[in-house]
Amino acid sequence: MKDVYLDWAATTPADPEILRSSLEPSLEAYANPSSNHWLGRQAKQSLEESRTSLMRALGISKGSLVFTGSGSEADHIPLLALLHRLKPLDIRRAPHVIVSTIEHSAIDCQIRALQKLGVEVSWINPDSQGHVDPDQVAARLRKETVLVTVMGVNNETGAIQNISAIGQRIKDTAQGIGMKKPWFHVDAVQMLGKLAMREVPDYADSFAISAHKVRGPRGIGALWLSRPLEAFACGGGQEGGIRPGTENLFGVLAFRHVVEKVSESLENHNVHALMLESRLIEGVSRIKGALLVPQRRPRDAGYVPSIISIAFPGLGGEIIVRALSDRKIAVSTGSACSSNRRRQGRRVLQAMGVPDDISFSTIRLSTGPLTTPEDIDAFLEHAEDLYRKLKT
Amino acid sequence: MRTFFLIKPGEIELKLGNKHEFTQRLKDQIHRRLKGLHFDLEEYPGRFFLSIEDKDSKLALFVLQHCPGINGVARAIKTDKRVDSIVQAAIECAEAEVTSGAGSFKVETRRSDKSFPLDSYGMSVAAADAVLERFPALSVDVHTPDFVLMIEIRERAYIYSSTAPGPRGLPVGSQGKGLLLLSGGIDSPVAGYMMARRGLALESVYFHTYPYTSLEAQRKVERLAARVAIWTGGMHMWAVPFTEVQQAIARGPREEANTLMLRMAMMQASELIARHIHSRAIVTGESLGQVASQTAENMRLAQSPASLPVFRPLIGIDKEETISLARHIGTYDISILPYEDCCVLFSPKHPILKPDFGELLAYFESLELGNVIKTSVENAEEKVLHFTDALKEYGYQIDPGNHEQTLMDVGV
Repeated sequence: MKDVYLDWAATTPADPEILRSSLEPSLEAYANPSSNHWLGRQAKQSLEESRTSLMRALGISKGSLVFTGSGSEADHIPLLALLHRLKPLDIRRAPHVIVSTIEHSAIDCQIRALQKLGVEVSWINPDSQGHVDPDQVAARLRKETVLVTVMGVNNETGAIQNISAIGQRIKDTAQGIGMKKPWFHVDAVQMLGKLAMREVPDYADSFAISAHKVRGPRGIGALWLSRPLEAFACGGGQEGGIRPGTENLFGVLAFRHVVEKVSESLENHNVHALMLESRLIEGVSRIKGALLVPQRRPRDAGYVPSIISIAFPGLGGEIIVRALSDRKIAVSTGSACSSNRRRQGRRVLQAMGVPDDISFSTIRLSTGPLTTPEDIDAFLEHAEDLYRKLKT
Repeated sequence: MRTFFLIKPGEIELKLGNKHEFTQRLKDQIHRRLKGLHFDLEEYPGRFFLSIEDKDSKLALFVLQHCPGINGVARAIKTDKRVDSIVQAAIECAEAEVTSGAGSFKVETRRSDKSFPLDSYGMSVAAADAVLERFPALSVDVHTPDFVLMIEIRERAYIYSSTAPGPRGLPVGSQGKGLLLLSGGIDSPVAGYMMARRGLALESVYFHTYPYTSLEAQRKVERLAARVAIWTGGMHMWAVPFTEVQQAIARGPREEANTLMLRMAMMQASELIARHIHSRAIVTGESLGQVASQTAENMRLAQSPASLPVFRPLIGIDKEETISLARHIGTYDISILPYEDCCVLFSPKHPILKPDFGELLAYFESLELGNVIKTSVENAEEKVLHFTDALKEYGYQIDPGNHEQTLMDVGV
């Protein structure tokens, strides 16, 4: 039986041609780009050309792009910059941040760590459809607010956040109350390859992306910045002093090429994903008892078509993942369900007000350009069969 | 160079009638556990002596300390029975203690050879004098010495200072075989350890409900079994696929009885396996009142499908004591790994606390689980956890790649 991979939001199969063709020039330009000899300069030139090309492929002409070791690390940089603002002896002026409760754990966990160190946090729940309301963000702004962070596309529900409206409301409200506009960071890791990035710089101050979500290699991410920030981690001054560490030229070259490729085919990929989504949603509607979380129709503009959560009430999400895995169908629960807590649901779905018994039984499917209609049919067939057999 | 261990057997000494058989069991156990190493084991009344190459001594000590039926193990010096030789050995023994910081000592002599020229007191004094002359900074303290210099005068003389404790109890197998119901929890491995020390050879049974429970959960139980196997000297584990039994119970009309019915079904399956392997008893980790289902009434109901005696060594032990035993035997850290081995989806929301014995027995019968239980047992997978697997769990390895089967200590 053919392997059916429906876990593209976790990672994607790397593009072998691009990885191979990126390896050769990185072997030639082996020197450290920070070195002042001609070999170093060659490596530096290759690095900077890739940076420019990558920005062009993203459709971005302003600000700067900093390469990091991962999407998570790119998310951490603007968050950890807050450490410079912590003044332990003056609690009245503790920095304040606004963050949604549906962020990826790279943000969620890091914000909680900063909270322990004295940063004040306002958490914003999404509505029942998984969308963060821009007005709610604006309502929480105050003079001490220095950072707002809301993701572009949710990794469990596929919900597209209204980043432009959130950015605009932050700007207007800050102006209205006479405060300096806080930094607006967007975790765009699940956005890359699914939506155009070119307008994000119009309303955000930074966004994070990762190569392996668009068929690039692991170990390379990037942070776009509207202007330099004072990074917390420091070292050899690479990447404008924002991300120390010798640059990963192979990763950068491959990142550039996969983004160029994905940007060219964005429209085609979207058409393909919409076709798969219709097939999936229609199929799920025929499985007795199964439901989409949140409920959505095909071609719903509030969601990317390639990420969708499905609940099988009465059957634990990790159980159906395990049983599908035995039949060579790869899906995921979105996040590992902590099994020693009885009937523990999941953070993102809970934040949307989904009842525990539904969130506990939810799995996430995510498709990509290599996913076929037959993959969707295989999933539907086996999921229905297993649900009937295993439901308690 | 060879290291010489003096082994003190445990309760064997008390069992006059079966003494020979018990002694033979313990010898067999030591031989089986050290298989693959070069060693000599000699038996004298009340003592075993093991001589082994120095490089294998650390592992041998570890093995002996985990072998039920052994009270204690000491690295000893063996000499002829001349007073001079004994005194010389005593000085050598004391030197090691002084080097590791001891400041006071006393000497105890045991003399089973009554023809020896000095009496016990005389021998102790002679040795103490010589030690004090050699190490003037040492002092004698008969109440709380830093170390006790032991001299045993038997067929030869044996001199040793510190004795490492063994598990005590009876040699494994001297009380026949038992079947341990093993789960991923804290209690059942401890129950296995306790019964191994009472002389039961153990096999174990584990019920899994894949895909409701994960393979990680099963792997965890295998690791627990391997750690119990360090005490039992290897162990067979029967992994019984119980998904269909659980589903059949869940289809019944009385959700509140699910847990009790599952326990009865497991006991019925265990009885089948126990008969198959000629086990004389079933062992569980239950403790009275520890959870809602561990009441006298529930245990009566749960054990009703079994005709063999059900041993519950933890019945009167509280959780703290069990946890401390689990830490002692090295299973605690594995038991608390977060892989559950019974699916919460099947747990009743309101379990029965005071069962009506007759009524629930009738309900169990009405579920007609006999065939599905029998099938699950027939499909059980037998896994053999060798003693070497147990050693691996503790970081020791008897390397089969080496022709001489030397021992490789990979460190703990």
